Amino acid sequence: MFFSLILYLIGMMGFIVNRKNLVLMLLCLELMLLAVALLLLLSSYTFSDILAQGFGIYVIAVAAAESAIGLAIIVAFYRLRGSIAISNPKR
Amino acid sequence: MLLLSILLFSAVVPLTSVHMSTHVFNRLAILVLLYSSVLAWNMLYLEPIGVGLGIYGGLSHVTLLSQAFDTFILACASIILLLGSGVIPVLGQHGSWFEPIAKGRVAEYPLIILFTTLGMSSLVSSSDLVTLFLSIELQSLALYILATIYRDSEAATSAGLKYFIVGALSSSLILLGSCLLYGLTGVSSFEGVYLLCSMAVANSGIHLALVIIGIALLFKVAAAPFHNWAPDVYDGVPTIVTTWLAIMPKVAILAFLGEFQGFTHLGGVYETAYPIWPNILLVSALLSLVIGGLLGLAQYRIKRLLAYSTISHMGFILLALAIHTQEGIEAYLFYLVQYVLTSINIFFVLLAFGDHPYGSAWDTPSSAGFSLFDNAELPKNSPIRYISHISRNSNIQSNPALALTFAITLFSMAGTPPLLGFFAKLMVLYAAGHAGFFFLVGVAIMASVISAAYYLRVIRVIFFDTPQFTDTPTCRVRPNGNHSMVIGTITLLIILFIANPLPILNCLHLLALSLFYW
Repeated sequence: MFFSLILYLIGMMGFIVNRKNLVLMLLCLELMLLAVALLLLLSSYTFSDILAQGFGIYVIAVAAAESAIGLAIIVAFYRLRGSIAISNPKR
Repeated sequence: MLLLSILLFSAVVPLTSVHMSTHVFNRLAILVLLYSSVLAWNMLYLEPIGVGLGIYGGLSHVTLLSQAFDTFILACASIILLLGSGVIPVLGQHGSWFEPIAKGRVAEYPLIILFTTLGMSSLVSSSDLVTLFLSIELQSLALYILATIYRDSEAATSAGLKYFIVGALSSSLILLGSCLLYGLTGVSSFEGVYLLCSMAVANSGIHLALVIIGIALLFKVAAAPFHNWAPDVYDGVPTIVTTWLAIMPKVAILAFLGEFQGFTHLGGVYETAYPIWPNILLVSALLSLVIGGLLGLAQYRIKRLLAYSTISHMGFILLALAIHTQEGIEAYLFYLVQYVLTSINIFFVLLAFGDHPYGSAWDTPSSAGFSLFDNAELPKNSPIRYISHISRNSNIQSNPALALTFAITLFSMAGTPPLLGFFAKLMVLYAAGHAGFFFLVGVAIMASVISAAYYLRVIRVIFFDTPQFTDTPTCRVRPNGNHSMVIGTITLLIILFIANPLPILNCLHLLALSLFYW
């Protein structure tokens, strides 16, 4: 359980500290979601409960959808601006 | 729950989008939303609804309140969809029902709207951590796409990106909180959590999980410590999408907050020495009131101003929610209804101004308005951006009735006595005073006075400033029929509420009672 919480915190730290790259941000997001999925599966294993396993599958599917949308937005952003750096270039 | 019809419709849209015009889709979507709103209204008369009815194996829980919210959300959604209908600003007249589809039109707009509406209406009746997460995701994934629907505008895309990042962060927080709640209690339905907490003493882990969920939900409604994204996003996306973003998801999430609190106000947590949940809401309400009131003063872009006014309204709603007495719930419902009506009206009027042929001063003068369906020449941004634009577009000689309507709506937002907004604020403050939150009442009064200043500044710009851009001749602003009907109806509602307040108030009173005494 602590392992997955630490994973989540790593993802969160990466999300906050990262000042360069949007794709890295997306990766950290994915890391957070999957850490939670891991936590769900672990707790369902300890409770021997089927419910959270279904929930875990939902979470994985939703994480995939979310990263797909995020990538699509990043691609559209890149097409217009020419870079995916977060910091604003001088206009 | 009968929204499966919506899903069916959504499946039809991509299949036939080659043959049918976007406007037909839009009108169909409006009809579908209205029909499902009527269906939800019909459900209100069922007998067991009062107690609450668990459906889908207890995954969602239909109560009187959730059905009422469902009806309201669907009706509002159909009204907002009207914004997109029949407006072809470039052509100037809307006689083009069957016009061939131009390249690159946004045919998906009604479809995405339907998806997010489906998410909202399942969110208000969700009673399980799984449904909570899934419906919030369904709602916000569609909203991300909606925010970036103008792919060719840089401002809209970067605002959409910002919205996506913040939204994804907050939904991962919701997920973490609900997962912790599940890991610590072993049950996933709110009812189970509630039972467990009222029997045993809730440990600190459950507190932590609740705090995380609460923070994530406050992120989603852009309440104060978590508000930073809202002005940027609202300013960047096209106004027609801002209307949707500023109103609908907030209603859904606040409705859910209301039910989450009413349904499981977590007895164990609630009665300890440190009631966590109401304190989160109270702190957030205080900060929203202050920040929304003060920072709005410094804005010169109209949509940023509206974003800050939204934040201060959120403060009032959260205050009413945190009181959690029957009076408070009633005030919260009334404030929510009032907020939605007023902001729909204000955005409609804003878009009606933007319909003006010279609406976008220096971007692309030829393509006026918010042509969501025609991107022959996409404007870089939405037509009215600065408050000073309004002075030219809406001064008295161009369309006096519209200017007057705008002023009335702003007065109602500021809370001037005979209008709707005043009574909402009055009810909230009254309930808060009864519950003993005198400090917060004082802050709220101060904040609403301060925020009245910036509303009044907009009104001054409309009526008294001389137009700044005199190179273009002022011509008459003419909103089309649907728009003017909506604007007129809501404005009359705002003005005439004082004449016959009983229907709305009685209705909300019954709803608040149903939350407490069933």
